[in-house]
Amino acid sequence: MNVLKLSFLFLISLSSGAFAANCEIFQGHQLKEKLCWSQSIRGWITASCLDEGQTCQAKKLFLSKISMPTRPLGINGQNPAALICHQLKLEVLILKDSLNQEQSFCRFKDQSMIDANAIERNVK
Amino acid sequence: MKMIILLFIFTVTSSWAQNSCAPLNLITQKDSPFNKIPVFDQDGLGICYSYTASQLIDYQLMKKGNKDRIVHPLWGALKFADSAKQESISSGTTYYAIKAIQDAGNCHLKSFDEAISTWTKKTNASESEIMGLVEKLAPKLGLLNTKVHQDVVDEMIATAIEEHSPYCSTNISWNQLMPELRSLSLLSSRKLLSNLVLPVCNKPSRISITNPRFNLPAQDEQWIPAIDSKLDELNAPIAVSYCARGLYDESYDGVNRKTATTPLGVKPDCSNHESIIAGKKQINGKCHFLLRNSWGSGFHSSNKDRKCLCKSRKTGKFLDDCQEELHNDGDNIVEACWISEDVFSKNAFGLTYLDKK
Repeated sequence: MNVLKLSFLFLISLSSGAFAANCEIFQGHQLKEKLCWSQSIRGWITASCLDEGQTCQAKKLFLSKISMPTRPLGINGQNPAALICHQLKLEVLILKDSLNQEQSFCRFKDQSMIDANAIERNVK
Repeated sequence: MKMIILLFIFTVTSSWAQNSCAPLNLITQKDSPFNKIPVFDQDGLGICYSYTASQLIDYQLMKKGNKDRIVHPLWGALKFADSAKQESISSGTTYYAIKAIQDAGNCHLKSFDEAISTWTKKTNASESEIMGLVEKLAPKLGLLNTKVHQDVVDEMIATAIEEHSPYCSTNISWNQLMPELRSLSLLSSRKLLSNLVLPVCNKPSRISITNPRFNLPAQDEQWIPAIDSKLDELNAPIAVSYCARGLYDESYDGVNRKTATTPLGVKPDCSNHESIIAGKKQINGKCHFLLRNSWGSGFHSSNKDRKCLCKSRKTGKFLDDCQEELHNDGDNIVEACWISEDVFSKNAFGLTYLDKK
């Protein structure tokens, strides 16, 4: 019986480990946001968007086809991923991760956020 | 005799080819200053030239013993605009940004951050959001007659904020910044930023760096030997001016080289940019250069199908030749990517570096 119990617990811990989210706190001057890695979008997204049954605008945008007439190319090195956020009329935030590396995020009206690169790679 | 000469020429040229593009990676070198220089993201601000200038300076100073970065990219942009008497901080060159910092001195990164934070705290906006608005608003207000009624100024500010709002966070309170924004009817964006940082940056300190140099090889085929030999000679990073469109389309040829009758020119869709070159190596028989861009630390479509240099968030270990398809997993940060010699020979239009001595 004990062996059965132990094997059950082992299986549970193994499966939760397999699905454990890879999350990171990203920070700006005024903002701290927990974002988690989503393998399906291959990018960072607001942690709560990944909760089962949770809908958020960041996830919704990703499920639809993102198209724009021309892919923006910056002047004087502007980041094209940030320009795509601008074109989609989304807020752009630059946040730093725990290693101080910078990254652009697009933020929606419901305050959910998504990695700008994830959007940029999916623009058709 | 002819055969001997041909054989000699073949031996000499093939040994040159083998020796050229000898591997170099300044990011993975032991105690590399790049460990303390983050991969930047310049967002919608057009100050790539100052991100490169600050990296070249900080790299050299850390090699000489500095423990941390001391140059804020916005300081470099501000001093460049001052020296060029340019109203806006957008658009410049690495060479002149370094020269400007050399001449004006440096306001320490921490002091500059402190000054900027008075704006960011007031408004709840990021520095790029504020500078984005200031850069857009300044030329419009600058056109107004100085005797214009304040209501007109306020209306123009309100319109600019409304136009700018899709680009900004929703909880920004621009009202807190109205006195500064109103002053743009009398000041340029450069002057406004200068006034903001003046209280803490009034005594810039001189920095001890070697002189910057600018190199512009005349022909496509001279570019690769020039970058290769300069990296070997300096063992330090180089800033390259190039058409960023070449990163998306390897067949793109954005630069018209100078001829006897025509000047050097770049195509209108070139998307001029400056980034850091921090290494080189051969991939499939072609020299590739390690490009450290200022577009953030993730995989971008400009890196599609490229080999990059990644760093693990968890372990801090480097993984060379990482690729978006296989390694875009949240753990890997993209430090830089390997760009083929073909891209630079057709799209580079300037190399800037700090002298060895």
